[in-house]
Amino acid sequence: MKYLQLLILFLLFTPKLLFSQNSFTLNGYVNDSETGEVLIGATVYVNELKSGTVTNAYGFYSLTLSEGEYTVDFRYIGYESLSTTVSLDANKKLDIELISLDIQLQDVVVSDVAEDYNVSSIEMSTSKLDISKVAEIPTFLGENDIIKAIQLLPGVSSVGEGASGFNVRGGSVGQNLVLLDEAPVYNSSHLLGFLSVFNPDAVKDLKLYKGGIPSRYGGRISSILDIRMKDGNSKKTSVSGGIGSIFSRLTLESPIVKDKSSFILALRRSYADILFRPFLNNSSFLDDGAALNFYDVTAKANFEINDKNTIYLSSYLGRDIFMFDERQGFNWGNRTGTLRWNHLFNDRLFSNFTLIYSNYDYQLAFGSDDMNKFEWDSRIETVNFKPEFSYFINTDNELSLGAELIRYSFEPANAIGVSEGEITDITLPDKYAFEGSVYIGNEQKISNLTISYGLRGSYYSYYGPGYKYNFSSEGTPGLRKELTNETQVTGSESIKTYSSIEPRVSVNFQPSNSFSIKASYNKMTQYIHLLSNTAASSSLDVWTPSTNNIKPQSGDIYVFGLFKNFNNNLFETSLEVYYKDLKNQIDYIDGADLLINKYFEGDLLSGLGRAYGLELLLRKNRGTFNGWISYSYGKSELKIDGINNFEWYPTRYDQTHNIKITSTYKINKRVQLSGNFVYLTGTPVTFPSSKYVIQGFAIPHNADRSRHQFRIPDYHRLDFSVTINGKEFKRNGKERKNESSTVIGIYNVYNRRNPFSIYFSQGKSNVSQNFVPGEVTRLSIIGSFVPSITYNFKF
Amino acid sequence: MRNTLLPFLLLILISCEDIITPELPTNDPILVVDAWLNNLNEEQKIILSSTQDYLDSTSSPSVSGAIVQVSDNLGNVFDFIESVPGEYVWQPTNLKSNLGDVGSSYTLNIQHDGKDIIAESTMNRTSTIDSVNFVKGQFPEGSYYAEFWSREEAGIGDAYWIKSYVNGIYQNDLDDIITCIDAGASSEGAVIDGIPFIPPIRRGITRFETDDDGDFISPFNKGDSIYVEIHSVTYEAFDFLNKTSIQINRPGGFGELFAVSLSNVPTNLQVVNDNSFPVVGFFNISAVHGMGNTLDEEELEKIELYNREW
Repeated sequence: MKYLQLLILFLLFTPKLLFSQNSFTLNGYVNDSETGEVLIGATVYVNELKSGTVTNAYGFYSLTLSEGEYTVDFRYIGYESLSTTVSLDANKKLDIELISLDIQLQDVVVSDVAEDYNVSSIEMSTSKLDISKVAEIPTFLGENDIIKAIQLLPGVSSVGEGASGFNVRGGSVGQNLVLLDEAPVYNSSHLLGFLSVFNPDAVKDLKLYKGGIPSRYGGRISSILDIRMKDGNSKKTSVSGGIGSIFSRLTLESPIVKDKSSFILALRRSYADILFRPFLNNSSFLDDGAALNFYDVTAKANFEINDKNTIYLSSYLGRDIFMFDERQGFNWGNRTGTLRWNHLFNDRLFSNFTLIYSNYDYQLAFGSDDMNKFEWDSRIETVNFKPEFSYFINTDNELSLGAELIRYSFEPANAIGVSEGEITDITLPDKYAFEGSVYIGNEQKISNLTISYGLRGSYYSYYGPGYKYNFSSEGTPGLRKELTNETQVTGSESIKTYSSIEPRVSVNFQPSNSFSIKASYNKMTQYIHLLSNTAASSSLDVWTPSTNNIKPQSGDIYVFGLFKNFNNNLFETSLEVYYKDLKNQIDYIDGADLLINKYFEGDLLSGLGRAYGLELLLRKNRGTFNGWISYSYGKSELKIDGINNFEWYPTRYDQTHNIKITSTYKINKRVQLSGNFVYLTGTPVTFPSSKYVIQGFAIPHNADRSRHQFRIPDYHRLDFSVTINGKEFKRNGKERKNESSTVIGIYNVYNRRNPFSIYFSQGKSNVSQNFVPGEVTRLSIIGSFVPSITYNFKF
Repeated sequence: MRNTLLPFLLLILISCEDIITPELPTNDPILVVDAWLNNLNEEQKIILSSTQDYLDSTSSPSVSGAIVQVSDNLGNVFDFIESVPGEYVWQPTNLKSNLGDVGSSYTLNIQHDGKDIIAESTMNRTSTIDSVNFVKGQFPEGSYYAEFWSREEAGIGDAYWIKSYVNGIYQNDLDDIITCIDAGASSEGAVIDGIPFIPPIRRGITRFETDDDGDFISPFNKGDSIYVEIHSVTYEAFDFLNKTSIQINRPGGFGELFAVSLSNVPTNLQVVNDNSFPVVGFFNISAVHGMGNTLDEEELEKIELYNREW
């Protein structure tokens, strides 16, 4: 409590000290001059004060300064900077439009772009990826992808192709909060992880917080990926899209009322079902209603009611469909909807109220007719309300305050089996939970020190109707726990509650323009968990709430970093070290049964986790040749009673060395080459030490009961792509309306069969009198190079 | 499910597998007890062997000279005599035609090398097979499939292992392990009870294979016979078989994304006088009901008459 009192005193006193003279507020929005899109994180710099601010997620900025004349610079990467003089003798609204630098003109050295954001900002362990950069990166099957692009950042990895999601600094897939216009997305993968559900044509901005997470975010312990959709061109109608090897995309943007409201509709659909027909001539697959496709629809509309109120409505709908025939198959997907209202109470108080709906579900159906069938679906559905306030006190203080109320509904399995017309319902009971948080935070500047401090408090309740299961605490750790008691709760009373206080502090000490030292401490709590005991996180993984048996995960995360830029921010370098101390980490007993099992909690084990590492980054931001090199060293371990003899063991996604090199070379205005190189240490694996025969089966055995003491071979891959932009001018000299480009790429250029896993089996042989089989198979998901060609257009 | 996994494998024509021989850890040989007995009037066998290095493909080393006995709760003691090295056998006699009846509980007792090893099991009730039928198949055209019909007794907690013999040969491939709790559940948390065995169980006796061209081979042809046995198992034995099946029945290819990693399977054997002495394996005693059928003229007529299909 003492901490809270100090915080309040600090906040009350500091602003008063600066209000001794007449102060006025300069505020407004920063937009793209061509499309009207607001620019997120644009720098607003007051030269006289050598300080400034950045625009928020809605493109809004607010500066409270003493009366006077100021030269204010507006800067944003990829845009021409704008400098203007402001006579501040009253509160002023100043909306700015910045002109996008044509990519084709990048060979012109732009001397006034001083993007020192990585040094000057309080943010550390944060990566903001330019969406145009995402478009340059060569990818699998030529499809631009956000999740694949962030996997090229230091500290981010994945266990291999075919795995959904991503890992950040030794954290599991379920420890990342992925937000699309504030809506949580519970499964961010299409096609089993080869592509993400986000259509890059509809995305404006994305930011990955690996550490130094501000108090406005919470609910997951490893990272926050905040993706913002485009608002839609508010100046003119624009149609863009592409035809690729797997997907085709079409995006329509248009103003509804010029400069006041607009919408964007982005569609994608795959057509692998069409492409694969010739290969399936021998089976009846793809006749009788079979379907194999994935699609998504991203839509958004915004309405500026007046200069103090704007409404946004965003929605996402996507699905992966694998149907063997009309009746049988599986499908899964997300649906989100967000309604937001930006309201400016006054020149300094910006607020946003968001109402969110998010749903992820999967469905499986087998059976030739209604007399004999099996149907199973599972769902997580949340409704969320978030009021947020930003109070721009003055140039040295920005206060944020807000709350988040989440109501979770879990349907772990709705399943029925019908056998000769007899129906058996093995549906599991639904579960409900509530998570409420409040946060307060301030970002304060004191000469060359910036401190961001805040507190987030949360309250969680697992409530009925539902069940409370109790398990025996005796018995050998590592074996299924025996159920001792089952209580049904019929009303909506609470079955179990938890709460936590999460302090968040970040410090940036910047002794010079090009060098800074940063440190941060975060406490993070996570109340819902993604259960997965398979080789890769998949679409069938189930989200589960904390209960009387499953405690919330928590982490104390410490980060320290050095940031230095060279040659007027032409080169960025950074060194970050992190240490995560984690509690209540979940793992599973051998042979855990997680699906359609009421008592799965008895198969879970929990214990401590720790992850630590170092990240080095060298980045060149401008010029005809640019890109970055990153090296990360990391360890991610667990210590759980019942596993590996209660000693620390590596997690499934512990990949010690992580090297990423990505670069783009613009040969001329029309042609650009890109390349990536990725190197990851092989993931851990458990090996058997012997085998034995029971009833004619050869069973592998791990005598010392260790886990993950060996590794599969390392992963490395090289990708190339060539982008050829369409001619700018037609033969008659007029400018072409269609900005087109063709991208030809090769994924996995040198054809490496990167192993995904190693498994042990009898192979095709049986046990006989003189022969006991025992094969070791190394599996690669992508075992050859994959060429692709994509055509993109834009009107 | 193999026929439905095929399109998935085609989806990624570029994944691949290599057989490798890495350096694997080793351990001192561990005693293995393979004791699956039943109430049939036939020879009962218990096999003692030891573990071998994973990449060692020679025959399983046998363990000789042990004293093996099974006793029940009615005071009977059954001696298992070593006939072939490692194989301990009990033969039915005029006085005792089988090991006992449903409801009896049994204790296995092994003495070897100064160690005293025991395990317990109960003979639970089994389910009666009403019929074994052949039906018309779809893959390929003109083929025949088989299924058995049995209504599982009401009452939660029965567990079964279904075995089949085609033309007298015991089907012992990896995907022939058909086990379930009650009428088809695979975990205690899902209750499927008192109804006919669900289709995946009763149709599991039909094996689907493809030839080198990828075409399906007819599982049954005219003249083939099938004999199905339902063996009752304890819940622990079901758990052992289920986990063993998961560990050894590897989907391979793309299916490995959904597979679990290597882990040990349970055992119900204990070393009474030395709990640091390792032992693996399982002891179970089943009640068995069996029935068979032949795909002869009579059966073919019935298929046509009743238009039998899945």
